[in-house]
Amino acid sequence: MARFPEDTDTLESLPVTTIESNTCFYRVNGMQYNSAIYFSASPQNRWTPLGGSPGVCYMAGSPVGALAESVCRNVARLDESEMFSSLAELKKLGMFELVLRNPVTVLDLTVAHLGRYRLDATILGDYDESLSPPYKFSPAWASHAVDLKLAGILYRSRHKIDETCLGLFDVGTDIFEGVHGTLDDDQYLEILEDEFMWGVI
Amino acid sequence: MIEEMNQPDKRVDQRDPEFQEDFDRALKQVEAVLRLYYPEEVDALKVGETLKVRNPDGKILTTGEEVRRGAKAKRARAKGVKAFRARAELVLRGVEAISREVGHLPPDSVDRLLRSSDPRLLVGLARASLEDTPIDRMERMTLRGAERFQKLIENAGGLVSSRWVSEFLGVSEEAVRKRAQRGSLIARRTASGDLSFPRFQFDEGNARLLPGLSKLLTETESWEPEELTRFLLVRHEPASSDDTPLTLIQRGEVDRVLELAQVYMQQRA
Repeated sequence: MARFPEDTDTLESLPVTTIESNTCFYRVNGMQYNSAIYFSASPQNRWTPLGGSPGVCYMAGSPVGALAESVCRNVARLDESEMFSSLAELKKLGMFELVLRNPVTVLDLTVAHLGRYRLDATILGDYDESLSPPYKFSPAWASHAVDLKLAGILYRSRHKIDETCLGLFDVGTDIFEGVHGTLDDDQYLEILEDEFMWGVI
Repeated sequence: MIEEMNQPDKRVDQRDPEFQEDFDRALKQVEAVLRLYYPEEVDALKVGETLKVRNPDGKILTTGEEVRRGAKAKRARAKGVKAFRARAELVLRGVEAISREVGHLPPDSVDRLLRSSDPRLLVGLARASLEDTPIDRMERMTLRGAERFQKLIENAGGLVSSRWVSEFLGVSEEAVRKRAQRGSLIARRTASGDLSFPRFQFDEGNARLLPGLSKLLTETESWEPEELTRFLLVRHEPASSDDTPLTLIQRGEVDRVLELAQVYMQQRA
């Protein structure tokens, strides 16, 4: 059951987790940019707070999750004929490692029994194209997390449910980044094929 | 007999006279087809020695009759054209590979492939080959991608030629090619070097390019045509709608499509 946050949703009453320092996340990002640390303020993105600030950098707990949230979005609902990418475009995308240098405390929507917080996974399916932005509840929860001084929201990928993702707010977290090759590398083609049954052209 | 040949687990004994007769006849037909398309190459390569076809057990069979080197073949050898010989080798190797795969196919696959177009037949045999043998991941993914791209684009009206576009837009083929080079039309270069154009980009009722598409093409000029095609034809939010960016453009919602293009393949929630 998705719902709006209320005044009674405090740090003590919500699922909150501290991510340890030096935890590594992964992000697919265009190689043409100098950095993969990009905080989006686009209302098209689920966890952009109301009003668009602060921006949010999206990352995943593994390369599989990063691919699920970028190249292979909606994979479970796609027809087979829709599941491929241009190899030339994959070459333009890099797999970046983002290491959080300090511990960060986040709203944790990956915990078991979200129902005890009067929340559940339907918040991740919150989408209504007739709305602008197309999300009803998510931006409100992002704003609420910012108000509670949380650094981001941990959530399960709606494209691959066993993958954990992080929407990190632009609140000055120290991040180290490094690139681990482009998506046309063998290691990522292996994931694209084995995990997503993807084709290339 | 044909049914028997198609049984994957029931190997046919080549010494069986009845089989041998059918097989020889089939090989002569293959040779006739080869001669029809490649008369000089077949002579140049002395088909009798070179055309080797394996039966399902892996034994090499020959046409049984060595073809003598003819006058044409001598001329061909004299030319010493490397590409000429390579083409002949390719044809013969292709025949060998196809023969091997056909020998392994179950009857229902044979029937299905016989009813399909030539490209589909080749894709079907290639797929069977990949399933049988350990193969490079890239080859497997590329074959899969090509098949899917073809299906996606066929479902959206297929591809048309430069000539079709020139007649449709009332401009010369040269003008069409220039527009494709400038990126103001979505075009792919085929293996033969010609350009092909996804038909969906044209508003056929009004003999023009789909309104609003030019704006998208400007914004996505660095994209590969295959990726742009995929972007336009794949549902962007299939959990809640069957809309694709193409249907949005057809409805006039170009700004929405530009928003979607900005975040396409980007990691986000």
